Amino acid sequence: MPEKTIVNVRMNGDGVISRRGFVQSVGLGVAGLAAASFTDLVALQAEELRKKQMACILLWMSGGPSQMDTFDPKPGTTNGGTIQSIDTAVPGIKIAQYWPETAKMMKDIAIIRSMTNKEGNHQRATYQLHTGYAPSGTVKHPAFGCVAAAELGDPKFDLPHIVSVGGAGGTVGAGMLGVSYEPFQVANPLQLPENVATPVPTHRFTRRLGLLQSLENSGFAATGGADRVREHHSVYKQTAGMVLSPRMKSFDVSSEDPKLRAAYGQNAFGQGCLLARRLVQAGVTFVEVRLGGWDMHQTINDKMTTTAGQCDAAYATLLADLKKHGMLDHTLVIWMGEFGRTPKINPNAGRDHFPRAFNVALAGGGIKGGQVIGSTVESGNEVKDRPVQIVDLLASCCKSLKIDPKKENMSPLGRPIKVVDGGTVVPELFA
Amino acid sequence: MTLRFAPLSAWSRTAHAGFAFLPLFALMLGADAPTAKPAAKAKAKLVADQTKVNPTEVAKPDAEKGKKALAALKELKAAVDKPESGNSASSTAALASRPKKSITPPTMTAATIDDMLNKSLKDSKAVVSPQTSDEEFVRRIYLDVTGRVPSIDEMRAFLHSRDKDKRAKLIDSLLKSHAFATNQARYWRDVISYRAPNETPQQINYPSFESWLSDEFAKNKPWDEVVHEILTAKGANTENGATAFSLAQMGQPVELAGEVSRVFMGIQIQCAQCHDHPSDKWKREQFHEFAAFFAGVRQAQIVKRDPANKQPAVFGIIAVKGAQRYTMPDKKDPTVQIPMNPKFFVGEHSPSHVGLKTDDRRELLASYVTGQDNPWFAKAFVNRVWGSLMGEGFYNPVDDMGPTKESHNTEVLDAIASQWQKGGYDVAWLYRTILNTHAYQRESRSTNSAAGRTRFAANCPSRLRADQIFDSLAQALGLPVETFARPNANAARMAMAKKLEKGKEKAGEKDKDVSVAQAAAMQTNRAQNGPRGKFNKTFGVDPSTPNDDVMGTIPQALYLMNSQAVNNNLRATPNSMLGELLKSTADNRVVLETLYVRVLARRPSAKEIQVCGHYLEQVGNRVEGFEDILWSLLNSTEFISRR
Repeated sequence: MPEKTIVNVRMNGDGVISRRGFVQSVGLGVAGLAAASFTDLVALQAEELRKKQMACILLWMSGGPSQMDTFDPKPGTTNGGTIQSIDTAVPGIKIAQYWPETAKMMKDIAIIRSMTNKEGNHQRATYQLHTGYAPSGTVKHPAFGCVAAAELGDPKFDLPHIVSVGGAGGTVGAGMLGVSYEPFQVANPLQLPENVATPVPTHRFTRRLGLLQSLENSGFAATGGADRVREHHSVYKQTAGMVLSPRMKSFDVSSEDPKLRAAYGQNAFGQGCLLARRLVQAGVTFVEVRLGGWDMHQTINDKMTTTAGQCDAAYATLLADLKKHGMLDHTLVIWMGEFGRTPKINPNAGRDHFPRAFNVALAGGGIKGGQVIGSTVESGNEVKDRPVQIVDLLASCCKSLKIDPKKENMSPLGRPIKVVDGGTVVPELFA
Repeated sequence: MTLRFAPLSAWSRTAHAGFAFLPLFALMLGADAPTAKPAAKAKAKLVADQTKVNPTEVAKPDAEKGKKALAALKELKAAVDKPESGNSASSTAALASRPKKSITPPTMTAATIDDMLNKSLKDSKAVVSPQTSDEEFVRRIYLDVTGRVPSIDEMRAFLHSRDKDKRAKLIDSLLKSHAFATNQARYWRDVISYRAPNETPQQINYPSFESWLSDEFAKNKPWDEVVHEILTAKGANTENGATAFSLAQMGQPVELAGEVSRVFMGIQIQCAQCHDHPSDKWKREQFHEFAAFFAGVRQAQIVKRDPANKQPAVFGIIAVKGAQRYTMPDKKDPTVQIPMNPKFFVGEHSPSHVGLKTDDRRELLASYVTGQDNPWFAKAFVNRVWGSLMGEGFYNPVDDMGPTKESHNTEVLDAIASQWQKGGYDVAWLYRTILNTHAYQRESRSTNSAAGRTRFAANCPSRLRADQIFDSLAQALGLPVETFARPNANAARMAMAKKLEKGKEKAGEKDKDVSVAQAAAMQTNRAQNGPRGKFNKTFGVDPSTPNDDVMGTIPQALYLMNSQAVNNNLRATPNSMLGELLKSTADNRVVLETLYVRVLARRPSAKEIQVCGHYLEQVGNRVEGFEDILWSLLNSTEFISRR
């Protein structure tokens, strides 16, 4: 039975297949389906549904964090001399001095120290790390998160499948996947997203929607615009559903325990991470939270304390919080930026862009924590062993989220684009 | 012949990194200034964009790479050392060999087009949709030509006129309006920006492009001349708005080749960048030969960023002089680079060109692309114009044409394109001719009707572009487009608007305290973050997207449903549009008709009057009731649709 066939069959949120959808698919003449019994399909559907519980939080370090100041410290060497390393919860694994809280969570984290890439331009590298492809005018590749939303999101869910939190830089959108999987933007996690609050009381809002519907039916729908009206109505239904959804309160972090809020950090990134946990808990598939300020060309030592400090508290608290809620096993947390930074300090006491050897950290979603994968040479200039390419990383994320990396989405011109083009899963992550 | 050496593109990338390859750049640039080494060095610095890569990556190439680079360097140096001898002569010869433009005034009229279409519609026995009423026509023509709905006065004037030729006359007068030029410029800005690999608007300067292009359309400059300027544009984006196209492609030959072909010829040859085109006849070599025309084109910082004096950078396009090699990576081994010479892929007889100068290569390219011997250039424009006016093109998507692509009524497209091309690419003529056809002026039909399913038996409803919706919204609510706020309604906002206006003046270089760079940055910022820019971010759609694929989004619905901008301004407050309307008359019928005309540019039907009347009764509060009706009209499909 081809898996594609099953995905095409509609089902509702409770996992019960719609018989009409089933019959329609058969009617379309999908080979092999007729031979399968209805019960078989329901069983397979349940498997699909289990996959749908998988979620992902991307902590995006916009600007490119320095590997020596994060998870690949080199104390006592010429390049990494001034940065101390600290012990972690896992004997033998040491990380940079700025990350004491993260160090306590090391049993859940897998560090890849041997990431390697060639792109040193912020914009192009951001695109590449988000999509797995180099940017081109031909195809707007979908961000990995949008693919995950499309693959894993329950069609009946009344909040967006993918939410992007933070003001630092932009994110990469759904591209050719279309507007349905475009990330829903939350600029400030301390406020409700733009325009979700109704300007009139709910009963009046609902009344307005009713009037709109009758006017649409007697107006444009009757005078040549039926297709347009239908499409418009489905967007409005979805939007109104979201506005009126009781789940909208997951966007409000103020209801959380003040102690927990403080642990995450009273800053946009900290509260954004808390929001991410709330959203995933509510059923959102993919949440990106961005933290800017990593582009430290000047005086890196001064800047690192603040930026890493914010990130350390939020990251560690997020992992602990997910764990406490029993969510870590099915939530992959990715910590990464678009590249690393030059091992050698520049004349402005900063570090410049360095894609050749950098690090990322993964946790949750079936990732085996408490390990370091790959390493760099003493100078930090090269990957010493086990180089990991961007496509390898994304293929591994696919494995964690149970997404088929070889699945092809069609570009508007009918060119098949794989979720991940090549790349091999890093098996150590799942050992 | 396969030559092994490091790709040029790789050098330029690494050269961005800093010092390591500066000598190479100095060498390249030094071709026209061999004695002025420091100047060359300064220029080389200009070339580097803000990208910063670790120098060690460049400084420590492995031995093999080093050898390759050295060999290539030698080869390049040899080419640069004796550049001028062959160059000028071959350039002149190549350009001279191109046919001169000739003009044959078109004989085709709107009736000719209708005759051709009617014949094929008759053959297909399709139900043809009737001609629009004046009311439907006036909204459509204003939106299509000027980009906004007609005002109540404009509507009234047209509807009351008894002139038999009033439609043709309105078409003529609207085509002469500056709004037509602005609407066109915004359309083409979107065509470029939605596919731009360069996502930093500050580097591109779209406002400069928009104002340059709208001036060109206002002058009715022939399309080949407009595109020629785009294809050969050089200099700072503040000085030359036409550079925006190349800046949007970051000056990269591969991106430029793909977009020039797609945008101006409707051919998606870029698929052949990596492999022979799967569904058309283009070969991989042909793509790279085309891209070779752009060798030597670079995006550069013309004015360097100066944080100390708050000076932003100004970007532009430069042409690196001297011999420039373009190479195609070998398919089997991408580290092997195969040198390619420029050759145009349309037509059987285009020669392969050797030894041209960078500027001449682009001149020659422009001549090939816009030449009257390139049918795709004319067809691409006609197909786009037809597509936007009819809701569907002869080829769909409008930018996916080509010899083996499926098309409809190709004979009509070919006839229009050929007459327009021979006539010298007169844009106003093309619009006038199509707008006067019965085909254009037919009622719109949904694709679930027989007329809607048959091509060109009806006009297809489509979604309005963001600029059109923004202008329509401002007009419906009686708001100025600059501020999108009621006068006196919000003092802070007005002050801000004034400030922005000042910025605009400064952008016009009236204030000498503000540098060109600062003014450009302010203008770009305003274009991005002003009321229109913000609106466009939410409602914008790539105009090359087929009509059926344009979908609404949740943020768009949220904006119209719940935003302060809409809701504060639709409320019946003392000086708002609705407030004043309700005060002016006690007759609910008049209020309802006025709202329909303002928002949808038509009067309500009997059924709609009934629905609204019933609603007002139910609510039992005149103000609330009409606020809700206005809200519903603004949130309706029809408001954001072209019909």
